[in-house]
This record gives sequence, structure tokens and C-alpha cells, in this order.
Amino acid sequence: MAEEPSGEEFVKNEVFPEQEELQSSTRRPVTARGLAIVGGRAAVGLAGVGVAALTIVASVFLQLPVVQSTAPSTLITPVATAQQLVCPGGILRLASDSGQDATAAFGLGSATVRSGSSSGSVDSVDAAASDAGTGGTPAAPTIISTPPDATDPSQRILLSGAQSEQVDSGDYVGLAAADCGIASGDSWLVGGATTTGRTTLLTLTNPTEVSATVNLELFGENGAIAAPGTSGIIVPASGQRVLSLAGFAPGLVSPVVHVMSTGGQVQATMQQSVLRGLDPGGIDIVESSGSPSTMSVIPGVVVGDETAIAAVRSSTSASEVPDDFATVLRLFAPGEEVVPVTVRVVPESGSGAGASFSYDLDGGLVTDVPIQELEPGTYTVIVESPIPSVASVRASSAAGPATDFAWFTSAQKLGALAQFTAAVGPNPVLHVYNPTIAESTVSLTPLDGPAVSVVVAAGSSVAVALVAGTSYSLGEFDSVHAAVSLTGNGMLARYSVHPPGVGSSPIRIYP
Amino acid sequence: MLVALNGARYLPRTLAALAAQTRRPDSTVFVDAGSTDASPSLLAAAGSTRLVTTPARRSFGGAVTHAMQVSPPAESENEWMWLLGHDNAPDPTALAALLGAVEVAPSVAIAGPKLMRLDEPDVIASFGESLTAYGRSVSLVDGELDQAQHDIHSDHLGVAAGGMLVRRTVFAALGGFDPALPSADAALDFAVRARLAGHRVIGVPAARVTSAGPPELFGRKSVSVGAQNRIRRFAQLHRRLAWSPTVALPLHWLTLVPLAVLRSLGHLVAKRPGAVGGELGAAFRAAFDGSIPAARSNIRRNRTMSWAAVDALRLSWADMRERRSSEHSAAASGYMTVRDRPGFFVGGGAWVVLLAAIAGVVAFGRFVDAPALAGGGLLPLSTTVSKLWSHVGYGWHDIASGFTGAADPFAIVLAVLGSLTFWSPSLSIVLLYLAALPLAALSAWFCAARLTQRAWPPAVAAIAWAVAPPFLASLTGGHLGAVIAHILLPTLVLAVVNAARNWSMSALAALLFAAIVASAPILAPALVMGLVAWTVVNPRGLLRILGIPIPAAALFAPLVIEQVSRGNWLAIFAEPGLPVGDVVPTPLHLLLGVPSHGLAGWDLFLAQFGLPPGIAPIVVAALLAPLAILALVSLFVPGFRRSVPALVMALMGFSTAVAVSQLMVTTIGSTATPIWAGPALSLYWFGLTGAMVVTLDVVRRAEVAPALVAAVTLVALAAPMVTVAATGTIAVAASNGRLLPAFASAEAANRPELGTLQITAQPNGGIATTVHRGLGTTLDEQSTLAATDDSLGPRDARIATLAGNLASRSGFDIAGELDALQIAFVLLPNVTDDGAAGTRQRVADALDGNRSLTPIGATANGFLWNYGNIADGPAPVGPGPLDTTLGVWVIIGQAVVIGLTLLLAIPTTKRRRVRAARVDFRIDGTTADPVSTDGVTA
Repeated sequence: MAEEPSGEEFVKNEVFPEQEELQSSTRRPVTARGLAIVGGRAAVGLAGVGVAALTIVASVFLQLPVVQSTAPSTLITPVATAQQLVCPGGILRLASDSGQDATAAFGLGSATVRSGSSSGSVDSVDAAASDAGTGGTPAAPTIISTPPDATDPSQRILLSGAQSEQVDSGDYVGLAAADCGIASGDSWLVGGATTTGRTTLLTLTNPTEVSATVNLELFGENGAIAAPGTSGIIVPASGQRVLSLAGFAPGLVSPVVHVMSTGGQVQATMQQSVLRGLDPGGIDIVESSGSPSTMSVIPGVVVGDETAIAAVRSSTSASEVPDDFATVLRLFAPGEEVVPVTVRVVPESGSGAGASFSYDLDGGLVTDVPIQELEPGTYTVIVESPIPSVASVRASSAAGPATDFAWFTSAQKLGALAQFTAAVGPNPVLHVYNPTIAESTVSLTPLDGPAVSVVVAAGSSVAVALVAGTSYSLGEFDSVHAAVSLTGNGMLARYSVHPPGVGSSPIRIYP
Repeated sequence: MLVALNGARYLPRTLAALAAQTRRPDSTVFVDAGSTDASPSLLAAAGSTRLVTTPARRSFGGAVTHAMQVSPPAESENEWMWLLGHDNAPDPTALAALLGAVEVAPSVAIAGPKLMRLDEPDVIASFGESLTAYGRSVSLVDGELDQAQHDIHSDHLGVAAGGMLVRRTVFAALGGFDPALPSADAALDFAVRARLAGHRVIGVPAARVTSAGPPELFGRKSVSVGAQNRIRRFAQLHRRLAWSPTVALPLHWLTLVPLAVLRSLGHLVAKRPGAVGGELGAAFRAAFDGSIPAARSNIRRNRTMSWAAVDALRLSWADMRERRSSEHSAAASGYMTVRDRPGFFVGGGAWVVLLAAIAGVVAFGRFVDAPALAGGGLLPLSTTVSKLWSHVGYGWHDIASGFTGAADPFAIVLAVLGSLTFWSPSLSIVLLYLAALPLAALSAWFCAARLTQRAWPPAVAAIAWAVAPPFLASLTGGHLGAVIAHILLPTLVLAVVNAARNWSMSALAALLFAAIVASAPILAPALVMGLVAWTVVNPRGLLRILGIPIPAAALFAPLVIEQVSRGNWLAIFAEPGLPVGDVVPTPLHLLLGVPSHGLAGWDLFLAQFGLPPGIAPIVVAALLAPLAILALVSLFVPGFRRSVPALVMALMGFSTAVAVSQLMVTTIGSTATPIWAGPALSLYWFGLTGAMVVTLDVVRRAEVAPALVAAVTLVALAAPMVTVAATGTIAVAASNGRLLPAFASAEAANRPELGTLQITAQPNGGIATTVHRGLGTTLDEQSTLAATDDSLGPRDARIATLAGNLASRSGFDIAGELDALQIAFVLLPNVTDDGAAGTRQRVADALDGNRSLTPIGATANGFLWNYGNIADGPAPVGPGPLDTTLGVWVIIGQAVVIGLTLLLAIPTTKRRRVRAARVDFRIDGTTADPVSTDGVTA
């Protein structure tokens, strides 16, 4: 027990015992032993400082191997179920033929629906109920679906459809076309107006088996709009609700509507008609854009002949403020910040003059940016912003007295495989934009014919003429944006090609 | 008769003494009991009547019996035999005195001399043996200076074998020494049998014979304490079985092992862990002792007297008490340490702890009425103590998809912590947060006070430890394990320093080591290296120091085996508790003591004033400079034996921090996250603080200025963190103790088997799933085995299939699978990441469109759906910790190790109280200087 370490050995430094008397007032003579001790201590200290410095330098400059686990995951392909698309249905009008019931919607004929599926079988059902009283009739929204392959449920089946309708009924004149889209819980509608003579109807179609509760967020040129009745809108299963946007926000030049549903999902569309004084100015169906994103691509923007438009503009009975003949880009970014937006307008042919400009967008306010002095032709508009935003373009066309307009919504990115249907109408054309930095070859295959290869140069777009009413599949590409336009004499309609529903795509699971 | 066994060292002296006897023996028999040294030649050269060599190595008794067999039988009653071992050199008159004593008392059959120590001839080695009431043999006199104080006693129960004079006829009749007792108690047993046969046994004080040691040492160079204990205990048990009445024999036999276990626990409490092995070994040997029947029949044959003749000579309780008290007083007058230490109250420790307590209340005072904490790495604990303890050991874990495996040792730490506030386990974490700063100050102060006599260094060390940047970062980030490790680290170092000489401290250090390593496994390599280094410095305390990691090893063994069998052994070091997503810190951050991004709150604090971001690292480095300089200066001043270990500790801490920040073994959803480097930086900080203490201690009166500067800069360094904790938003927040939305909790309270499937959208477009059973997954249910799993089991695949189909429009039989898995709720937490938002929307759409599910609404935890029509059924859970054989063995093994360590840790020996002005006796008999009285007693 004599060697009990008590800490005393620390206190009484046996190695350098004479240091105990450091405080002594009398200086001791310098001895060789004392020098050796001081030297040894300095050596220990310097060695220690050296080790410290070496460690620090090594830790900063030495690249240690990183051990990184990969989270275990599995790709689950959902058990196939019937795919469902909703075609918005026939054009609606406010007030009956006789001008009664000015707040109620009525049908204006039915749309021509064409559809196709890669399995060949398409079931088509009319929505059971509608505010417009068209429930169960061909004028109601059409719900098209295709059952899964009975023998191989994992087989991917593509389904597409498109509708078009040409009306010429009093104040309602023009061509409108739309893709049959997927119902979603969250969609953005960028388009419409509720100024004098502009009627914008919001249609919400619920194709599911459960009723949906829809909340709307309305934005205009002066910011968000709080209006009664925009929340808790019940859309019955297999039913359509039609709401006049003017009921929520009259006199709005630039509306943007954010549609959110819980319960079932809805397909939301806008239907806008223009009446300038007494002259009908056209009709269009605005489909939902994608969610706000940092890059919106709007292919297939058809800009009409300015001289014809100017002729019509001068002949209209009322001077319009604002003038909605002009080609405008409608932009909106949620939030409060100022968003620097870059806009590129790329002509489709590859030649011709495009345009490129920057714009500081006020967050929370919908802004219509005019795009002037564009030659007649087809363009792709690309909007890039550091903060996600939504965008769409409105353009008009005129031929003699007949005028029409269309909202060119942004087209979502297509990856690897997609299918679309050319609506029945004049001159259906597919516009394909390649956003990548490499040339892309797209194979375009009619469901009943041989494939056609289309080469799209990097950062440019091409147009391909289609056969009306035919469904095509797109394949063999990495990433493109596509839209279909229909143009005739004073008639203009265009819809984006949507990617196949993600709802049933395989999903990676990290259990 | 002289028996020699490897006794060449002693034989010349013994032979000479034998030759010098005033009364020469009539004949001499020299027995060589199988020596391997020069003994046989020495014996042969000495010349004897007869020289006997045993055929093999024999014990003393065995050699005597052998020599008797080869000698002619006794011719008369009065033939005496004098037994001497090679070390028993008799005084010239010894034989004469012995024979004189036996001649006057015819009833005497055995006479024993007074055995003196060979090296100290005036100290009695043995003079008479006796028994306690329980049959333990006692040497009546041992190690007392011979002042003739024992010469009045003559009748003894037994005498030592060496130097024993025995009547030959009696020896033959009794069959000699019991062959089952080769050394200890052989003579006592023989003497007791002689007494039972009606003879007397006396001690003859006038006859003095030397002895080199106890009988166990005969023929051996040395005998360990453990072996001696085993031999003596076996001898006692053998005698007990041999002597007991036949009726009591089965009882004695049955109680052998249970008694041995109980006595082993007693040994532990008494800090004699070395005696445990011998105790158990002796009991098992006695239980299968084949020599008992022979011994019993020997007694039966020769017994003429009743046992009362023996009982009269046993030691009474009063005698035993007296002996014990005199032993204690002898021990107490031995070596005592006296040290000057700063007093806790006088030396300012109390003030520092009070200041730390105020800082703690400022920082975390807003949690004072919270029933639980959550956020960061924190979650509430299980609601009852029994549930807490059901999550230790090897069994089913309701985490992720659920699995059967080993629990983290941290679960035991949490169970102990939660049991402290048994009425509401989660409250213990709130209390720990409120008390964390003063506790850290307290433990650091006592550790630093061990290194210095002065008051300033421990005070500054306590401040440095309480506001250490890694500590505050761990607290605000909810890294509970790191917090516990930081608080306990100084106490571990203190206990390890003391463990070199103290079993109780060693056991305490073992428990602290287990708690720290369980809370922060990354510290294990550095701490084990430190222990090994400490054993090199203190080879005397080898066992006491090397035993320290044993409890931790027992706790970690199941986990380590599972991780190694997965081939993922680095995952052993994963931080236990709820995984927290974090960025990889740069080495420069780690150098500044910051275990994560940010700079101890200074980056945000300075950004408020519009200062460029480059300023913050400079400010932090400047505030750290006094500590760093004082730490490095310690190498240049006297006392490098303290400063070098401290700085090596800092180096190991820093290296550990750099290494673990590269170990991304834990995955959260789709992303991997590095191990939290906080505990390693605590070790780094500990080394720096220790070196600073050394410097401040050495500079003596000049200490005040540097100490003040260091204290002020360290407090300033911590100010932004404390402010943010007090007023701003930190990861940790008060919680109501609920883990799931109220609706699900209420339902689960009635049906605890119901599960909630949580689907979390990931930035990469995938979804992460986890199943909460009952009230939700608590902190004590977390498992690093689940967090570091890099493979998918069948259960994972099943949950994944369900989740994948729930997240899609699907034809899957979702309702049926929800019934089978007893999942009644689906929870979809909100996400902030843009990439995850789209996926979340998809999942929400799919869940909304599912007819089986009813949307409940948005909750604090996320959006909740209910599967209302769930069928009754058993939850698909696995066995609890006590439901499998393996689980039971794991629990038993860990409980035994921890229990024994606890027993050993209970301080039973008297604390070394330091008293002023006590004279210090050294073992060499000199008297040390009187202790100065100006030191304060500790």
C-alpha cells in the first residue's frame, strides 16, 4: 500500500523538484543541471506544439475516406388499376338562350372527344352530375378510363384523349380544345379575365368515387383576393361544379387560381369567352399548368398576323382598356419577394427573330407582360426564375372579322414515354421543344401506324403535322416539352401534352 | 522426522539447529517429499537414522504418513515423534522443552512449539489454533511481537503441524493427517480428532521453532491470496462435512453452492473480488469431495469423547469481536494519505456551480413546466417505468418496420434516467436539461480539484466545462447521449485515477464508463486507449483498471455481434437515440469546438449587425485563444506528467471528431447523416481544460489574471448560444408528451396494438415509411440497428408494398393489408423541401382518393387519415425481451455483470478522512512529518 497514488506525485514534482522554489526571492546560480532541465522542458513543449500544428494541418489537408451508407430502398410498382382521364366537356355559357338565369351555367353543345390507349380498350363515361344541367349527357365532362392488363397487371398502359369544340352561337364564337387530363389535388390555372365582356367559368370535375372538398386561392394584379365561397366547395363523386370567377372577383384583368382539393381529386379548367362590345372575340379552355417551377416551358405559341388583328382591333365597336388582343405573358410567383425572371422566346423554325428579356416580378402579384413585335409564327417561350413561378401566354389570331384567342399553358416535362391524342380540328400540329443541351430524336408513333422519327436540336423546337383524331405515342427521348395546336381561319386552340399520370408510377420506398 | 520439499534454502540452517539440540532425538528420519532442488543431497549429507524419499511429490502430511509406513511400528506408548518441516529450525532447547512438557502430563498426545517468523525471530508466527462457532479456523496469535504475553495459555484446540511433537501410537491410531487436507487445517483437524479420542493438545511456549510461512506455502515459492483463500475455504468445508452429524449432512451439502454464491456477493461488497473464484471453486470441490466417507469413518472409529470437548475450546463471539476490533485498529494506524485540496465551499466551487445553475435556468428555464421535451434528437420517453425497462435486452423493437434484435445499451441509460422520475419518465429529461449546466460544473470542479491545491484552476475548469461549445450544441440540438457523456466524463476520469488503488472506485469507474460509452459509443476507442495507458503508468492497479470496460462490454456484446454479423461493424459507433440529420462539419469547425455547421451561434449573432460572414470564425478563434494558449503553455512549465496526458486526451478527442464526421452510417429516409461529433469534442475540450488547469496550478500566485481572462472569454464565447437557447428557436422544444396526433393517441390508448403508418416524402422523390405501434415510437425504442440497417427484410418489403400502393392509385387490397398489419392510421408529415412537396402531394392525392381511408385533418404532426373499419386482430409484433431464451440469457448476463459491479461499487471500506495534525506512519516504521494544518480537509 506504500505506492498508493494519491496525487501527491503530481503536486510534488519529482522530475523537476527545484522548480518548487520558483517563487523564491533569491536567485539561485545557473547550473548545468538547471539548464538541461529548462532545455528539456522547452523540447517537450516545442514537440507538443509541433504535434498540435501537424494534427491541424493534417486534418485540414488530408482527405479522409468517407464511409457513407446507402439507405436501403425498394422500388414498388403499384398494383395496376384502371387509369382515368377527364375531358372537360362541352362549352358552357352563363345565362340561358333566352338570357334568363344570368348566374347559372348552361351547355352549349357537346365537345368531340377522341381517345386511344396502348391496350386498345377505352371506357368512356359521362359525368353523372353537373351544375350546368348536362349531367349524364354527352355535353357533360367525359371520364375515359382503361382497365389494367388482366394477364399482366404490371404492364404499363398509356391512355390519352383530347376534345375540341367549335361554337358559333351568339356571343360565343371560336374554337376550343383541351387535353383529357388527370384529376389532381393541387393545380394552378393561369388565364382568364373578369373584366367587362370577359366571362371566365371555373369548372371542377371530380372523376373519383369519393366527394372532394375544394379550396380556391385567387390572385390578381393587386395580389391575393379573399372572397366568400372560395373554400369548402363540395364536388360530388363523378360530378362537375361550374363557378363564375366574376362571382368571386369581378373586374379582374389577370386572375390566377390555385385549386386544392382534399378527399377526391378534381380536374380544374377555366373556360373563357370574350365579347368586345357586341363582337364575339373568341373562346378558349384553359387547362391547369404544372405546379410552380423554376423553369416553365410553353411550346407551340402561335402568334397571328398583326395586320389582320389590327384591322379587327380598329373595327371593334368599343375601345378596349386593356387591349387583350396583344400577346402577353402572364406570370405569377407565390410569396412576397421580388423574383428576377428571365424570359426567352425561341422561334420554332429555328430562324427568325426571337426575343429575350429579364423582368423583376413582384411576388404575390399577377403580372401580364406584353411580348411585342413578334413576327407571325410559332414560338416556344421559356420562363426561368430562381423562385418557382407559374406562367402562360395568351395570343390571338384573326382572319377578316373572325377572331379567336388561346391560352398557351406551360407544358410539363415529358420523360421517356408519353401518349397524346390529336383533337379533331383544323391543322393539328405537334410542337416539340428539347430543353436539353444535346440533340434529341423523338419517335412519334400513331397507334395504328408506323413510327416517324423527329430530330429536335438542342434548345429548339420543331412542328410535326398530325392526323386529326389520332392518338400517338412519344418515345425514345430523355426530356421534351410538347403541345398540340389547332389553327384555322380566325380560329385558334392549343393544348399541352401531359405526362402520363404519376399516380400509378413506381415509387421508391425507404422503409 | 524432518520433511523437506524444495527447501534447500532453509535446510542448512534447520539441519544445523537440529544438530545443536540439547536433547538430541533418539533417531532421525529425513523425508524428501519429491524435491526438485538440492534438498535430497543436503538431507543425505546431513546423515540420519533413516532417509526416506517419497515416490512422488507429497504434502507435508502425506510425506509424514509415508515415512511412518516405511518405518518400523512404535515399540512403546512413550515413543514420540517430532515433526519438522524444512523451514522449522528449532531453538537448541526446543525438543527438551517439548519433551519436558509432555512428560509431566501423560494425557497429552500432541504438543506444539511457539512458531516464530523466520525473518523476524521475535515475532510470533503461530501459537495455537482454534475454531470459530461456524468452524472457521483461526490462528490464535499471528504477527505479534513476542513479549511472553501468550505464554500463560497452554491448552489449545490445535497446534501447527511444523514442530509438532506427537505420540506415535496416537498418530498411527488416528491415521495421521487427513489426506484431503494437504496443507491448511491438516494439523487442526488432526488435533481435533486427537481431542475427540480423549487426548490433550498443548502449546509449549518455551519451545521456539521458526516458520517461513503458513502451511499452504510449504514446498512452494509463493501462493496467491486467491489460492490461499481457496485452500482455506475448501479445508473448512471439508471439515464441516467430515465433522457434521449425519442428520445435518444433507443440509450442509445442499447449502454448499448457495452459501458460496452469497459469500461471493459478500466478498464483492467487502472489495475482495479476487476471493470470489476461490470461494466458488472450493464449494464445488467440496460438493464432489470423495474423501468425506473416509474422513467420517476415521472420526467414528476413534471418537471417545463428545464434541463438547472441542466446543469448549472454540473461540466465543466475544473473543472474535475483540480480535476483529484489534485488527481494525491495527489497519487504521497504517498508511494514511493526507492531501491539501481546495474546499468546495471555501474554494469557490459552490459559487461556480451556482452561476452555472443560473445560466442553466436562463437558457432552459422556459422548459420548467413542460412534461417532456421533443425536437432535434429528443422524443418523449415511454409513459411507464415498466415499458421503459421492456425496451432493454434482446427482443422486438417497434421501430421502422419492426424487428427482433439487440437493444442499444443507451436504452438502459434511458431506463435508469426515466426511473428516477418514475411517475412521469419523460420529466427526467426536462430536469436533466434544467440541471445540465450546474451538474457539468460540479463534476468538472471535483475532477480539477484532484489536480491542484489552488482555488482558481478548478473554478475556471468548472466554468469552461459548463459552457463548453460542444456541450451547448448537444443540448440545443437534443443530443441527449452527448449531454450525458459530457456531464459524466470528469467523474469518470476522477474515478479512473482513483481506481488504481481502490476496488470500489474501479467498479464506480466501470459503471460510469458503461454509461458514457452507451451514451456516446464513439468515445470507446479513445477511452480504452486511455485506460491502457493508465495501466502502463500504474501496473499495480492492472486488474482494477483493465476491469473497467467489462460492464460496457457486456452491454454492447449483443449489439456488436449483430452489427458484425451484418458486416457493418462501423455502425457500432452510431449515435444512439433518434437520428438527426446534420451536415458534415469541417475540421476547422471541429477545431473551434463546434460539432456542426454554424459557429456556436456567433455567425447568426454577428450577421444581425450586418457583419460579413468571415468575421465570425475570427471572433470565435480570438475568444478561444486564452484557453488554447494556457493549454499549450502547460507543456513548457513543470508538471508535464499531468499536461501531456491531458493534451493527448485532447488530441484523441479531436482525431475522433474528425474521424466520426466521415462516418455516415446512419440513414434518415433516403439520406445518410454523419455521427454527431459532440462527445468527441467534449473529450477534446476536456484535454484542453485539463492542460489549462495544470498551467494555472503551476504559475501559482500569478494565476488570477490568466484565470480571469480565460473565464471571461469562455463565458463570452457561450453567450450567443445561451441567448439563442433562452429566446430564439432551437431544435429542442417543450412537448406535451404526445408522439402522434391526439386522435390516433386516443384510439391507441384503448387499443395499443393499433399502428400508425408514417409516410414521409423524400427530396429525391421517394418516400420513407415507419410504423408506430400504439402511442408512438419513443426515444427509448430507438435503435441504431434500425437506423444503420442497409438491407431490406421481408417485413420491410411488406410495409414498402403497402406504402407504395397507398401512395398511388392502385388495385392493391389495401384494406386487407391494413387489417393484417393492424394499421389504423396513415400520417403524412409536412415537408419543407421543394423536391419532396410534389411527392407529398402525390401521396396525399392517393390517400384522399382511397375509399377505405377517412381524412381526419391537418395536425401538428402532419395530415392524418383513419382506416375506420379495421378488423380486430393481433398486432404483428415479435417477442419481448423475456420471451425468448436468448433474450432471457442476455438479460441475465447483463444483470449479473451490472449487479456485481454495483455491489463492488458500494463503498464499504472507510473513507480516508483527512485530519489535520495526524501523525503519518509509514510502513517502514518511520514517522513522517506532521501534516500542515492550513490545508482544508476534503
